[in-house]
Amino acid sequence: MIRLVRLLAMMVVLGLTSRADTNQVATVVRLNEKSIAELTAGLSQYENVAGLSGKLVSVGSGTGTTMVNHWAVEFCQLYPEAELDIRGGGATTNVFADFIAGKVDILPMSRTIPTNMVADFKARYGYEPTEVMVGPDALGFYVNKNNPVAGLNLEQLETIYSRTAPGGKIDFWGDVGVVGPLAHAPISRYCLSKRHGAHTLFRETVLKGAEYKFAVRFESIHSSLVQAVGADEAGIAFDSVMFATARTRFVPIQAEDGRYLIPSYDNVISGKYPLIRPIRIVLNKKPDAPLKPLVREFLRFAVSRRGQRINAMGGGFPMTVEQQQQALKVLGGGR
Amino acid sequence: MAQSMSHSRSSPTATAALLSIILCTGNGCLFSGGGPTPTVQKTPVGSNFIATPNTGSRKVTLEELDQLTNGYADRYYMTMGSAVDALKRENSDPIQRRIAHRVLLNGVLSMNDIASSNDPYSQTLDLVVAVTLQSIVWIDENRAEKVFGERAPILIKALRTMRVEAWELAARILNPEQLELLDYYIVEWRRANPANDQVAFVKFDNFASLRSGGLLSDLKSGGGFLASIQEAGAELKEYRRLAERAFWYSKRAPNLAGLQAEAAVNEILAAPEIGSIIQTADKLGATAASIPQMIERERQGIFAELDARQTLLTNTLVEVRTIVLGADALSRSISTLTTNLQQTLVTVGDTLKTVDGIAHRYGLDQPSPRPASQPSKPFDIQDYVTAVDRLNGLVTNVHGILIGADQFTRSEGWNKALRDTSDLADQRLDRLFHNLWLTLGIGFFGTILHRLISNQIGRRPTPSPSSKP
Repeated sequence: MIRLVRLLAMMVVLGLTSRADTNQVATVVRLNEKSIAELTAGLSQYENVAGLSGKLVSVGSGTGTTMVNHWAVEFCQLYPEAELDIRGGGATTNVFADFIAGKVDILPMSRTIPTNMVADFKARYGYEPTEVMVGPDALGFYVNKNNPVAGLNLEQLETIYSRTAPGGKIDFWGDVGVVGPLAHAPISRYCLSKRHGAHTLFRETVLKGAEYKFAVRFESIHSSLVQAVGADEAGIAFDSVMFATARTRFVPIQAEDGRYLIPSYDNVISGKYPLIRPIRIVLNKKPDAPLKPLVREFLRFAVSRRGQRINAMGGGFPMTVEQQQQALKVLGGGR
Repeated sequence: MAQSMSHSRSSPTATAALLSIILCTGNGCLFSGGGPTPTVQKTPVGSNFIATPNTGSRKVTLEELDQLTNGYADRYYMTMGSAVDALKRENSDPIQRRIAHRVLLNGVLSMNDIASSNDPYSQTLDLVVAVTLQSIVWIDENRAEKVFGERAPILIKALRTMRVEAWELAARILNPEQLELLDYYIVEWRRANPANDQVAFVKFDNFASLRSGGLLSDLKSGGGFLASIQEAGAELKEYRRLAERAFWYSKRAPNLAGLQAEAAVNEILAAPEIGSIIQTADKLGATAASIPQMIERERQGIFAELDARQTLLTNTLVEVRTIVLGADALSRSISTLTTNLQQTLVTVGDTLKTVDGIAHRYGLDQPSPRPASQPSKPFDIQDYVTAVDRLNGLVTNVHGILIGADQFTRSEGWNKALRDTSDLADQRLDRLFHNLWLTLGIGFFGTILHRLISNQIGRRPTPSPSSKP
């Protein structure tokens, strides 16, 4: 009888182990060309307009600017007379000031506009700035591809990164259930610098406003952040899902229903993944007044089938038809 | 290697600055321009850097940037050279050795080319582009692990270090927006050119299709953290930098030549044809190594066969001896018989002589008109000589074969067996020949005797009926 119990216990353990392995394998979220074609098939196409010219200035978050740059390459081919001045560097206070001052046409952002900025804008123009969602996105937690960690919850992430976490200490990978050689390795924490939306969003939502640990290493460049984890088997970082590489994998994060989910297209679109952050463009649009033509056409191109395919080919997720229709409604000037 | 890359310059100021760069490897240094004693200001180390520079500090001058890129090129050689040495150490795979060396060679060639160019702006951008693309290919695309397997972390760590340093250098002259844009250009270029392997030679100019011209022009117009160029004296400084670059490059030319020579050797060794030859040589070597065992096996086989044959031979010799003994007995019997016959014949001869005398006396010795009823076959000795010659030739051949085998094996056991066999065979053959000659002699004698008797009997007159009593 005792032997039978032991056997059953062993089978349960093996079953759990194999489930953990399954989780580890399912960590690739990048869409292939076929999926992209299928997911964007229902989106409306962009239609060119005649005689479009002028200058568009875009300054904002790194992830959003990456997407804007992707669109700009093809948009400039459609409209050779159009001049696009695109700058990244983050949606900092100075950028908001320039936006309010009218020096910036569009403001790509990976988080909502700070309330004080909204107030400043409204104080000047009498209406609030307009936001247009141009692409779904989420914060993915990158670890080295050889890291076997099965999953993390938000409390564990807070303890890993927060200087004042209440949930005890998590300094080694063994503290979050990792076994094997990595269990005794100290966790190498990486984060984007404070100019980035990911830095702020994580601090506000997961760290609950607390400071980052002193041991956190800050990177200013997206590709460098993800590469740091790819080169460091004990590393962990978070950023947009569009920067995944062959040496990294996503850690499943515990959702509200208790399941551990990776930031896949389905989990992001359905809203089940816990750290979703749509990429949006902030505009200065007077209610009931048309947008500047170049701004309008650029954004219509961005949310079009072609624009969303470009976005997805760059590692992002395409919008749904509903999201596209909503964006077009905001932009106005439909044909 | 690190020591060999240190260098001196004609200018004492430049010498001190470069020595300081070498002493500060891995950290990056900033020098005050033009002063006799350069001051060193450290930047954040490793990957824990923030690109936003201290805007309160003074800007980087072109001369300093030039020195920084030269120092970076030297550190690249040291870091990557050490990593590649480690990759090649105790690595018998010619392909891995060749690729590792090629990574180093391409990188060093590119770094030296960039560092010796005449535009510090482009130098910095080109340097960041080349190193970042190398790191993307070997780290992010996981090529290091695909090529070098468990040794991959060596290359990954080195390339990651150099990438971080390159971006630290770029952060001296580019603001965060520009850094992000540069990163975007690099990533997008790679996305558009995924099959390009020689990324170490990609320059910033290759990004023209990505509307990258604005960044460089922005830099040159003072959009970044570079100090504005003072026209006065700029030309003079440019000439001096050109001379320094030429000197800097010439000091490193021998190292480059050595790297290229080694690359050529690696290319040859890794070629499929050479690999086939090496493989054949390996097989040949293995075969040569197995020859002693093969010979030993053959020798053992020969001895085993010899043992078996010796038994058979012994039995045969016993039989031969029995036969020879029988022949001896026979020959003795024949000898006795012939002796007796001889005596009888002598008696018969005497008798015949008596008879002949009587016959002569009575005129009975006239030749008979009737010939012998059965004429005997003429005796020919040539047949016996031919047989003996053949037998002798056969024995000579057998003896020759045995001697040949003896020379081939050089075995004492074989020699002993051969000697025994040869001696035994010689003895037996001598006896055989002896008996044969004896038999032949007896036969010859018997034949002559038979002929004589036949003649005598043929010449004896047949008694007539009238002579009967």
